[in-house]
Amino acid sequence: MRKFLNRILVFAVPFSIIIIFIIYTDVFKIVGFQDYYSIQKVGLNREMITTKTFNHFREKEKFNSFIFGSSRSQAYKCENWESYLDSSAIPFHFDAAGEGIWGISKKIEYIDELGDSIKNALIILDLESLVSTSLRKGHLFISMPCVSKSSKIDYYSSFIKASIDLKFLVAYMDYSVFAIHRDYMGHLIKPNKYDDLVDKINCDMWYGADKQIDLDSLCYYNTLIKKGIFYKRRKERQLKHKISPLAIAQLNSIKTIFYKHNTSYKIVISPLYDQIPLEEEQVKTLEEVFGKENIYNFSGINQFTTPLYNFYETSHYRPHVANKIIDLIYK
Amino acid sequence: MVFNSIDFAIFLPIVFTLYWFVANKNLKLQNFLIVAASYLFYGLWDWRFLSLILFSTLVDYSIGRKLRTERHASKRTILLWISIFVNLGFLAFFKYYNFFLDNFIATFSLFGTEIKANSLSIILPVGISFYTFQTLSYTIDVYKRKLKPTNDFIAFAAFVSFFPQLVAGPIERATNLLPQFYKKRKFDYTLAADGMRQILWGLFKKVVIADNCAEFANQIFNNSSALNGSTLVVGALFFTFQIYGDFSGYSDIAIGTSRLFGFDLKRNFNFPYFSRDMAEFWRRWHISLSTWFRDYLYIPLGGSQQGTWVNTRNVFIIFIVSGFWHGANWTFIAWGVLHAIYFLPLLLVKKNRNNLDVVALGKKVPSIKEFFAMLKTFALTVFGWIFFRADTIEHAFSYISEIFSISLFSLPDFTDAKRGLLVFIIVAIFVVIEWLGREQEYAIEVLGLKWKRSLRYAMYLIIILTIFWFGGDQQQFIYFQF
Repeated sequence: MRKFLNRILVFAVPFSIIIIFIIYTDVFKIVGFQDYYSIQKVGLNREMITTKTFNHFREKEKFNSFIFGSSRSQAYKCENWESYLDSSAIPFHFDAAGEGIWGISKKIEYIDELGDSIKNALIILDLESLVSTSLRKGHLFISMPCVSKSSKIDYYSSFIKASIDLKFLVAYMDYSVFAIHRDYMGHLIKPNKYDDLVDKINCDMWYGADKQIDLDSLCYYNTLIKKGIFYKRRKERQLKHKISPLAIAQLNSIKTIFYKHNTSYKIVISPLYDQIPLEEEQVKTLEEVFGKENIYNFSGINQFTTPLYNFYETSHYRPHVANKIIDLIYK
Repeated sequence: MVFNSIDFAIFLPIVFTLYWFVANKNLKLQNFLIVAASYLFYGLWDWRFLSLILFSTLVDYSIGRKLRTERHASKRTILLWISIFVNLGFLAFFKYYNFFLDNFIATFSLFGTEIKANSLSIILPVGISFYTFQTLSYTIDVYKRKLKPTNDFIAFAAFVSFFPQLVAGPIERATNLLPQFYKKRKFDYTLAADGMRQILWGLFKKVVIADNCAEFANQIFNNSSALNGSTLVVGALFFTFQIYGDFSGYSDIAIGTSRLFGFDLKRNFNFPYFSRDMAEFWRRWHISLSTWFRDYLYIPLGGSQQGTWVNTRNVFIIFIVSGFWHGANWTFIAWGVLHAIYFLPLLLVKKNRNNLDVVALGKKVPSIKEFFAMLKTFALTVFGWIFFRADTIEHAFSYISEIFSISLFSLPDFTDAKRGLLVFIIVAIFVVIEWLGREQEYAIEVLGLKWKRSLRYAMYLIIILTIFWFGGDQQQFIYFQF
């Protein structure tokens, strides 16, 4: 037995040292409530930031109005939305990377469970978020256990796994030495030339790319066009998507809580670069669950999706588009 | 709890420590610890279904004891049927209720009669098909007087719920596993080290091979209507290695884990993709299930010792039941029928026992004849997996019809094809390692044992790092759903 344990220890020691080092350095800032924005180049889990910020300030600030959605929802700003709401509204931007309806429903359930009020809600959806109906894996996407009600071990282990991921280690060391973001690094290392600006209380975020565009928009867009990032739009759908029974159940769960809180809500289908409209069946389902008057569909070919200038790249649209949309739907 | 999780990485050392350091001197305590650990292992998935395991255990334990004293043949038969009824009743309800109901309604609607009935929202308890068959084997063997019924309830409960093989096999026979719970276990370094090696190889198969292949198999099968024939062939190949890596990987981890506790489980896979005909494939794939069906269904039906008609009937029964065991879907039945069609000619011309030894025994490469025989068997197996993986029969047929279309001659085209190519290269290396180790119980059983220790440890370290660095997104074990 001693021989066996000794040999297991020989194997376990290097791994233990690595794990202790990972916990000590905490590159993904998962321990406690921290400053998530200063000199932060490693991509963090956005949901962890919004959830921890919400938990930290909720008693003091008494948030009662929420913007939900993926990173695409970051085009919408609390400070702008607030002006369309009644004076008692205190908005909070409760988004997450790659957020889908599963994550949105879990966050709404969480707020309800805490006994906080949901007076207003703005939900930003798109085709991808409508088919995301389960806990997302990976350190950039996994939900905090307090929201997801899933295993804490799974949650923390995904960060440990990410810390020893070969792609991350190479990207991290490369960036640490050369301080240049290369394409292969993706979102593991933040790609922005300029730092993002943030509201540390309501979690609004202004991308550093805005500054780049303001300084030289022609150069910004020409570079992306040359890189082939703004691809030629196909305008037709490759695959047909349906809303699954699970998705309908999650949408109904959101509606039930809104009904309980007497929430004033609006659901926006994002205008996307690909100009592929949401399936009619999907829109119909959303209208059936939430009421036709609360669904605002900006997908497909329209004034928001045509100009290149409305997008940072092919995935995210810019705040001036969101401001116009808010103006349209609240007037 | 699944083997490829951090939860299990914490659970296993704790149980191991308690088992060998706290309960070491007391066999009853060791068995009790196994029962408690097994119930915790299962309960962490869904504690409500522990009652099913406990009920099955109580029923079969009591019936076993009754069978010991009962002399009347008719009463013994009744007791056996009670056990069969209870065990298969659970299985039928949880696994097949909605299937039968839906098909019943569909059959009546063919004749213009509309029946209104609601399907139940039934959760399938993980591993029910495995532990049900395991407990049934006990009662049948006791009934046939092949095994003495046990008086030790804890040992019996440990046999039914033994956590390494509880949810996805190997399906153990009471004659093999139960007596191991009666004997004092001593820690055996060789057995434990061998167990660790097998766990490592099992994890590699699951995390690197199966999970990576799953990503592409899912992508291609889920979007098959939009893809060309050559891509669909690639999808079928990915699934072929996914299911092998997934299931044989699980079996390796289960067998390896058991060895850490001093148990010896039956072998479940014997390099099936190196089979030279379909009969050999079935002697090498999911061995514990095929031998279960052979002993408790095929032979009682008359086996292959009857006339042509009965032989044919028995082959179809065994393969259809085997297909249906996998799930309540016509696709599994079609898969079973297809394998019956593959197997039957070999049986009828009495060539089903031609290839009993290891292919190219003692040689590095097979002969041309052996190579083509393996290739043919592999192709037939891949074709069969299309039915197994498809969502419906229509899906399988549309998948196959696209394969046999002109688009077969275009280049494969799927998302992230570069990574797909990398996965294929890893699979190719894996196949070479498996080929070199095909005379052992698992591919790396003796690999490096004659090397310097430092070199051997470096190899293990490389496998561990490959698991961390090239592991695919964690997927549920396929056989959990059965």
